[in-house]
Amino acid sequence: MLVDFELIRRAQKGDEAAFNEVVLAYRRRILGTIARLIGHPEDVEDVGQEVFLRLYFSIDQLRTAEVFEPWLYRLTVNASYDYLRKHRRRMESRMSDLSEQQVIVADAIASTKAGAADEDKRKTRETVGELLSAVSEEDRILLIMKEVEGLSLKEMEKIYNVNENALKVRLFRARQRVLKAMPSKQAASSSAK
Amino acid sequence: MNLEDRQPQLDRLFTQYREACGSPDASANFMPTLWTKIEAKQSKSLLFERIARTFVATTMAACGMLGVLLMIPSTPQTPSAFLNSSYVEAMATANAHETAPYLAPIRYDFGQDEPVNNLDPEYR
Repeated sequence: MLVDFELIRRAQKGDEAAFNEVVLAYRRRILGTIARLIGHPEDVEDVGQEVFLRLYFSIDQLRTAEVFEPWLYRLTVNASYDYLRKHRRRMESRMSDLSEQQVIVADAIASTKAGAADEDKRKTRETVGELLSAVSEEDRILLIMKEVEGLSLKEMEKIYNVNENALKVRLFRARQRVLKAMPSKQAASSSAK
Repeated sequence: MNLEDRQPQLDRLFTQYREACGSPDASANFMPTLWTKIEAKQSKSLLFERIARTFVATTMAACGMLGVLLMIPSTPQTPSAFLNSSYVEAMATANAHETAPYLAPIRYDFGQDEPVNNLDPEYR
């Protein structure tokens, strides 16, 4: 826990200063998680604010301060999932409006904007992003929470409200799908170079 | 290369991904924007609450007025008298002003029968 339970109890009672402290304590961690979940750095702050907005209006519903962290993670996962759904719709409509030539030009502009030092990181993000596009948004979030965020199955149990075995099965299947997508995706990216 | 052989490769990719994404720090505007959003949502919900309260109060007042109107009888007759009388009596009382003479049973006084002496012989 990054804050003590008393601070959370005070925030639950409507203490704005206590809520501010909670946000400041968890802000960096939550923004990092969102960045990895959604893969769009430009929208991380917006989604983060949505998470803390939901937290402010629902913190009084929290039964005990002890379950605060899994609960905050659940809010983060839900907000990220909502963003991904909206973003997918937006992207589909935008891309359908563009001609093939315009899409190529847009891609070229986006790639030249990134600095040379960030090139490797960008490639890694793209590779993982492509691999994760082989699975559903739910599985993508599940995989990132487990494999990238490093949450334990016990912690994930509390976030998803499902038992450990069900989580294991879903994780295994999601991982298998990503593994199956691996060679073809990588071959496609290497042939493109 | 089967799926099992690719497992470590995938684990490595996930680790690299974690480092590539990093933990971005929030901009200076993060907290002010968050509080602006909170206040905007609060004022919206307050407005909705006020509208809902006004609506409830108006409905309660209307219900009260209708209740009072229903309590006041339309005729001076007391409810107990109304309930104790029969249907015909109640109708008669309620429509007393409509009991015009022309609606009453026709009574014709023929007087006492007298022998008719001067009738036309044809009718005798």
